[in-house]
Amino acid sequence: MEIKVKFFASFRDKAGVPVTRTSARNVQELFNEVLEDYEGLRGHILTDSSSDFPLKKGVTVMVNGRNIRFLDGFSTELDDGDVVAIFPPVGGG
Amino acid sequence: MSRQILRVNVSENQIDYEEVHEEYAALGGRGLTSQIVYDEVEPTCNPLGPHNKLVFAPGIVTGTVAPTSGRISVGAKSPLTGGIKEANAGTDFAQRLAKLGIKAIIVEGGPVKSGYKALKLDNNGAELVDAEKWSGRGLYDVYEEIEEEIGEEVGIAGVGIAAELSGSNSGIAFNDMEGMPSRYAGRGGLGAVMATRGLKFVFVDDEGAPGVEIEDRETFDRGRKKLADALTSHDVTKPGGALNSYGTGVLVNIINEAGGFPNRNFSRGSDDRASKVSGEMKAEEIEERKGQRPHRCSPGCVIGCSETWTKEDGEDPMGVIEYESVWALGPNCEIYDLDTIGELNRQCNDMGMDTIEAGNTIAVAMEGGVAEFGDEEAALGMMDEIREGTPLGRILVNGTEFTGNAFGVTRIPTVKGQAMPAYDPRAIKGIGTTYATTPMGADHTAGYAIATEIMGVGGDLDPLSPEKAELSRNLQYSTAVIDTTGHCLFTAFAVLDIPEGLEGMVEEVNGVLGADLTVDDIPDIGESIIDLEKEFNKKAGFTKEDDRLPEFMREEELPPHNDVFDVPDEVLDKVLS
Ligand code: SF4
Repeated sequence: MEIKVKFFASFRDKAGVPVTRTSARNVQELFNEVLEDYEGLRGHILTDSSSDFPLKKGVTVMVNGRNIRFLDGFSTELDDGDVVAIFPPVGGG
Repeated sequence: MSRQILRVNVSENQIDYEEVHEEYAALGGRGLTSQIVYDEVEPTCNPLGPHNKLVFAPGIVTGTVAPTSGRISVGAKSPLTGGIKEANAGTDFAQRLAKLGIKAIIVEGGPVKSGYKALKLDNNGAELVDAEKWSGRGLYDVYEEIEEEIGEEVGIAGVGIAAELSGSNSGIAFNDMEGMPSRYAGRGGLGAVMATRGLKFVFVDDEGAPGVEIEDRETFDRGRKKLADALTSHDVTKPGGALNSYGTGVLVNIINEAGGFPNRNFSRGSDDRASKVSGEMKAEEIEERKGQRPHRCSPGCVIGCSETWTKEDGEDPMGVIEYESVWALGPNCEIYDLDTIGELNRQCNDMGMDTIEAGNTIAVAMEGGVAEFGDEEAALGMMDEIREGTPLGRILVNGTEFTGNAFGVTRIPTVKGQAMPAYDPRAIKGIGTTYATTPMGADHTAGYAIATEIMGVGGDLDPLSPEKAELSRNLQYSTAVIDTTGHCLFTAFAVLDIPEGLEGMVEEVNGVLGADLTVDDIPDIGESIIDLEKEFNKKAGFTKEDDRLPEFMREEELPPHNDVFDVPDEVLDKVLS
């Protein structure tokens, strides 16, 4: 099982790579793994809160183009071939 | 010195300064252009005929030290939509005009097809001077010549070849901080309204100008500080934040990942090649080429989303390539090369065209068989056709709908005749709700639902859910107010999230006007502006059936989410009712 994880904008610089891969089975597991490998990202992505959605304001996490807020949050399950995209706060128009 | 309205009639060689009547005193920017157009323009008139009028108005706080407030609104009856139009741009022209004490310029009369004039304004008055020598030429050279002739410290507004051809895709080009014609009130064909009144340029020299009067300095200063604090602390608008680091192009990747980035004339919502034209990629290239980033369109902007793009060798700076322009002239035509996109953008600036309309026009021409999608040379060739005024060029310069109809295309992405910006409404339905219902024709800036649907600013709503009437309405009302204050719309990212920032914006306005508005007044003020615009359109012949997206977007599924635009007509009818 392989999940592709893509970092964008300032997260790409902080991770030092644009893409990594994991075999996590859900988003929570993905963060556990990925943030261990890219420790510099942790404080920019997660809050210290103990809520079940400890994502920092403005950070967007998509699984196959769908924001996890509108899926199952951190419990969103992952399948082989899924693509997870992680964005810092962005804006424009 | 109280502020004045300048009325100019080129065909009569007449210039008059008028006192501002009371009902205009508390207005500026879009609120003022729309009010004057409503009051003075016959809604059923031919937009290029003698009864239309073009109105320039800086925002209420423009010309003061209020942060990120160098905006000018331009209004008229639009030759592209046939309805009322307001387009705005960030430029020091706006600040110079406001400092001269001019609340609005109304350009009327005509039509004049030759013998173009320039309106020259300074602290001693205004005069019309000959501008014929600059007719038929590219604006980059002309703006340089104008600076050499009349000085660098002058704001310039002008129209190019597209407007001289009376094209419905002709904008008004304002100077950027380097004097290049890269800041556009682009949408809706306002350039042709200016050119058909015989006016080619407006030059504004504010040396010795009295500046903008501030009735209540303490309130103004308090507000200015609150807004500046909000802008410099919000992750999107702060120094080193997303807009400052990557410009508006930072949206390419997120909208592409969300499946709402239209490729090949709105056929697909994402494409792996989009990353080649992303903001991240562009910022890297700019650094390598020693272009400029960040950069500001006008003095006093604390966000600084702009940039200076150059050719590969670092030569020939051309100004900013915005997200919308990258998309329209790029992936929407299946072009994924920043240098080609840069050249297409340069051509648009040089001839005075809106990039969103131009990119959509090329895409529908490609769909109609004029060229293959992805053919970069053919896209550049279409620009040459316009410059030469060939029969094909005369079709293209009239925009997307005109071109699509000319070539028998049924997939034409327009609302009220105006081409859609860079978000597919089938994947992001709030922005589609705005496209459908704003009096402006398809316009993302009229109610930027993307902020909430994609970026989580001002709330979180699922982009695929069709329940967006309230979101679109609230955003359209607040946007009308921001466009009236003279603040850049990008301040909204901060003020939608930080209540003190919004309070600050209102206090700045109170300080300038000596008023006592509150944040709670914003929806009513916005509603009154939009009601007026809707009323104009109604008198011009628009009905609720004009508040609809094109048929193909209701029937053809958009990959990757394979959804259609399914917001019911009854919901659309409720948005601004
Ligand atoms: S944020 Fe960008 S567009 Fe807005 S005023 Fe600043 S530089 Fe201009």
